[in-house]
Amino acid sequence: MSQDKQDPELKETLQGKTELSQRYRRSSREQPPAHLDEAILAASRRAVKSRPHLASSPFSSDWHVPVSLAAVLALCITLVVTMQERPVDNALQPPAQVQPAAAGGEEQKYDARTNVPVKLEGKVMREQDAMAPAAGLAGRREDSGAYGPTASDIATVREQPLSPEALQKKKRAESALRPLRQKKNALRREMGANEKIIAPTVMAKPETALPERRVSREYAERMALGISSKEPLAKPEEWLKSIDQLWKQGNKQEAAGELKAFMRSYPGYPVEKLKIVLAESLLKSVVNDFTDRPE
Amino acid sequence: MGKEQSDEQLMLDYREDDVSAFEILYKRHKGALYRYLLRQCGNQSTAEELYQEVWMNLINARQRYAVKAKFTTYLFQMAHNRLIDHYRRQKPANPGTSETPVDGLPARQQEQPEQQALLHEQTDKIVAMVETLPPEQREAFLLKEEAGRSIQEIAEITGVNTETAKSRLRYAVHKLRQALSE
Repeated sequence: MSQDKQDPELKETLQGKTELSQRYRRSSREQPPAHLDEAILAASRRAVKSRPHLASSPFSSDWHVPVSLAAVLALCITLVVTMQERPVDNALQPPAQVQPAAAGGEEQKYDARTNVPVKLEGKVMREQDAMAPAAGLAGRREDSGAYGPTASDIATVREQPLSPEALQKKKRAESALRPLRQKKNALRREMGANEKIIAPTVMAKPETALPERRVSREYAERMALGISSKEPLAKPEEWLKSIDQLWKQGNKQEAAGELKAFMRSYPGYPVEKLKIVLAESLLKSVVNDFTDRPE
Repeated sequence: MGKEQSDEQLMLDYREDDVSAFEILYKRHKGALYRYLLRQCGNQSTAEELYQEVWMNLINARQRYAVKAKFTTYLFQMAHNRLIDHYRRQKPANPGTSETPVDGLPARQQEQPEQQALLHEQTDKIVAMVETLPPEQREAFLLKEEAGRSIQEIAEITGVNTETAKSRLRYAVHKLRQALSE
């Protein structure tokens, strides 16, 4: 009820037509002091004056985006150019593809010793070097006593597509390898103990693998030439002791053969020392053969 | 004569470094804003301080100004917020105020008998009666009479719904009429 009565009053008040409104407006005439007007208007002018200074600044935000984009672009270009010019680390490259010999148009050269294509062997060796860190050296030690490509090398080569000529050469190489493998197996049986000694050394210190491998190859070569198995590895004194034992056991021919091999291996070995270890009769039978030899 | 520019356009012009636009705006609203603050806080020095702060805030915020409401609503909303901040800071100094305002506005400091008598001498009776109104009713009345705001705009400035704003204004008008008729 009362609200309905008051609403017309409110409407009039809102329209500013009531006596109350008119009377209030007549009475309410205060104004802010002049010094406040001046201070505020001065501040408004100062705010406007300070803006062009900021806009013309060389470090204003208008420059940030284009300069940043240009810097990023220059950095990317430099990076791409550097990456293209930089030589790729060999170890990070994928294993080299063994190309067929015929495709290259080059005449294959064969190793005189193994009859294995030199180029193929070189490729295989590079591949082995590249794979060595991943494959581990321990797994490769089983082939360290043999020369020529290892079984895993040949398997790797087999995976590559080869032309008929290359296949023929490969067969030749494998046929050349066959007797060598047989020798290798025989050698393994003989030098089992030596290999057992060498293997832990190689396992523990990979950088020593190369010299050990060289010794083993040399040993295998000598065996292939018919030289005694003990000759390259045994110390002269030990070798002489074993010869002496053979002589004492009655294996005179064998002992003489061993002594000859010893003399060939150590031509400058003093005869006085030989006399101390070996029987005089043995020494005479063998040394006579060497007295006439040219120095 | 060209048509008078709107407050919003003047403020946009000032945003674009037109100082004269601000001077026009200032002249249009300086009296209403000053009286609104003066009646609300009842202290001339405080009113002047708040008055200057409001205008300085407006000057500093000119770069961010966008027309989202009437300029007067925007200006008085800033003044309302400054008053709230001021009284929040003053609150511990006025623990004995009898009225607890709904929207943060406390009772006037000069509602003591001596100060009221002084106000009666200095201003017209109706002005003195306005200053005795409860703060929220007084604010609604001042926004109507000084700033010429509608009910909806009063509600927007004071942060209440329109019914509340209407109710406050209705009570304020009713009390003043009763006082004038006595």
